Amino acid sequence: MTPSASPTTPLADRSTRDADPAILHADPSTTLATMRPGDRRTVASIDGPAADELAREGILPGVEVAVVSRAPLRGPFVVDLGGARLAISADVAAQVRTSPRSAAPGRA
Amino acid sequence: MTALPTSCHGTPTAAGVRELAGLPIVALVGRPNVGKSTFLARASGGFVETANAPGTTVARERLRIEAGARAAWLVDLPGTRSLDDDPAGEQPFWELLVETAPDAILVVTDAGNLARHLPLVLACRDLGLPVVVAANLTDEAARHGVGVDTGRLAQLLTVPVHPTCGRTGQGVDAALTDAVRLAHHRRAVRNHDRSPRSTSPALGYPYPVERQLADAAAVLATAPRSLGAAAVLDPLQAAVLGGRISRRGGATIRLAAQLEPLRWASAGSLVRQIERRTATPEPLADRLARWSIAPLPGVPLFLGVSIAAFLLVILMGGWLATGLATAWAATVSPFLGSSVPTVVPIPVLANALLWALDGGLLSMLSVGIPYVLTFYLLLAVLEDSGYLTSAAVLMDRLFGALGLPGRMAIPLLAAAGCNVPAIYGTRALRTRRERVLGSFLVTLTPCSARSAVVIAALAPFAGVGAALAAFGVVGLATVAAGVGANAIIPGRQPSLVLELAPLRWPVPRHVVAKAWFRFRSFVITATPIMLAGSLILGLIYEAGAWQGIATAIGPGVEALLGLPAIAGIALVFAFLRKELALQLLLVFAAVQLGRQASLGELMSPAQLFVYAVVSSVSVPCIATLAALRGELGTRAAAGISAGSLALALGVGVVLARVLGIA
Repeated sequence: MTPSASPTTPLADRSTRDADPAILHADPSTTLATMRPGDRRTVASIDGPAADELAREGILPGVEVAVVSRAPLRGPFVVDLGGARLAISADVAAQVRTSPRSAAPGRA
Repeated sequence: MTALPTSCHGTPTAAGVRELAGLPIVALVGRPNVGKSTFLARASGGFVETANAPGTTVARERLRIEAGARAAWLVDLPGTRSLDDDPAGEQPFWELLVETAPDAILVVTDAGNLARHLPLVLACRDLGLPVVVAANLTDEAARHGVGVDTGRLAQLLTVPVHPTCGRTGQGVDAALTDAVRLAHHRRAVRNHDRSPRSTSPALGYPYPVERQLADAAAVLATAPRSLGAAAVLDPLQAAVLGGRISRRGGATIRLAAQLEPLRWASAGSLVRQIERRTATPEPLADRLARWSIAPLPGVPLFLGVSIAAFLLVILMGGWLATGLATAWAATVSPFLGSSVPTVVPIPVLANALLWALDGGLLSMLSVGIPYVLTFYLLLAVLEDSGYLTSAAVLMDRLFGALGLPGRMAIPLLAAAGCNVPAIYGTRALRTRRERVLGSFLVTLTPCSARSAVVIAALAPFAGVGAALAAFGVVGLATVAAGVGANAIIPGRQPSLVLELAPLRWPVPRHVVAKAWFRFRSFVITATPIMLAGSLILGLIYEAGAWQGIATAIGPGVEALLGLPAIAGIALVFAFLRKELALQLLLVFAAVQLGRQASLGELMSPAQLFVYAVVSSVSVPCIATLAALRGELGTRAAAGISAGSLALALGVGVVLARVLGIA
């Protein structure tokens, strides 16, 4: 999915998440929540209520994220995003679906 | 450059109002941790509190600045990530911005990571107001090997861009001068034509989005046909119709969720044209920042910092408090003791006044300066160094159970020294809900005075084990109450999405200024309440009314808590100063029995246990109450006090039953 190609892509994501809650965790194996420290992947889509909040921090489809560490007691993920470090709690991380790093240059 | 700090809700002199009313306004906008307060301190030459003080949508600091031989108001706004963000958990940022009615916006950005900061610039530009960009933190950018072509960026954005460094002050004047110039220009134009409009062509969005924007603008500009009494105009539409924001600006706020990804994409492509990154070794601050949030060594480091903070407040505070109390007893007390009775001939009134002036002021002095100021300095260092966010991340899960963010860890630790600064420490929390919950937990945390009562009451008469057990009971009750309050108070703790502040050396001048500012507000809010409360209790005591109260509440205290009637009145009076809970008990006992009696004679070990726990949990002391009221308002302060009283009585009743004394 390349969001920069079509400005309507984020809209489409929002409508599907509202319409079908089952899609929320349709494929949990590829979310940010399953990444381990050192993993680097590309954000594919954000399916959940935290989409706006994540957008304000620049977590948008197409950007590359790397997990730096994880806080104790299954706490927040610490994510590197183009040099900035973000702490993202597990329930929010589960809303961020990721795909393997794309060959195309990511927007970071 | 001169500055005249006043507060918006303050009362400047009449001449000041006339002179300044017509000045154009520059709003200072930026993401959190971009060094805005340091930037502002450079702008003013003084310090301005920029904490997102809750419940203070109007109490925004503003400064009169002179730049380029022109004057303007500089209004600082809380750090925000977007215009529809909610930085204080109460009101969307754009409303704050519109309230200030800016003539120009100065956006402070991070030169080292413009890709994250330009979306906010683009959003501000969309409002149609003149925008000036400060590419701040150039020192940190250089350390990261990031070079920015600000000239090219200015061309691409069609707004002035200034490289700035708040720490050294480089470029700050130039950026302000530009912003003030544009604000004056806009004010002049507006005086001819009052309708707000786009002053610079927007970069433009793809055609379908522009169509949506045009539609949204048209809807916003159309007043609803029938405005019934019940109909409430949507605030954005009200702002557009009121001419406080342009139509297109309003439309870009309405469609912010759609525009945000586009802005980030634009920012990314802009940055690719103007940014040059050279490989540099990872700066030490970055490595430390990484370590501080990794489980290892982050958790041991956090424990170390916590213990150090705890010890600093307790030891420094205790040491200073003792010193001040001694000095007071040697100098002021004798003076007051001899002068007040001569000035006020009525003995009862004179003694009551001594309660207020001698006791009350001493309490202020021995709570205020040692504990409050010590903790404020510490908190300012932890805040400005960026460590507080690291602690927030590490403790997120633990505190999440109590409905609190992890950054509550440090204020809560400080509460074990003194509750008062910890209440003010909750300013570091974002939402009012968090602050109420956090303050409630603070008031339940035994401060050093209450801990001393627990130890002094139990260790000699019931053993050290009993004292530890009492602390255990208090701790359990606190956690249970926290979990309960989290469930009862509507709303929930938002999931954590937090940008971590980089670790920085705090600027000593700013740390001192920040701590001093907060300390001043503590003194102003707490002193009158402290004096009035002391006076009232003094009157009750000196007039002998306490014996009546003791008789009235005595049966209840005996039946519910299994304590002697006299313990009830001592608990009431301990409201003044918690450490008096024991002394007062002995004083009252001496009056009633007609002779000195020891605690062991007055109460059995089981009764002492109940007394210690109840006095530790029950209503916060008067200084804490003053802080609560000043920070959260009368209702919340009353609610928290009632909650702690109910909890204390509940725990006391259960304990009395379990221990078989009631």
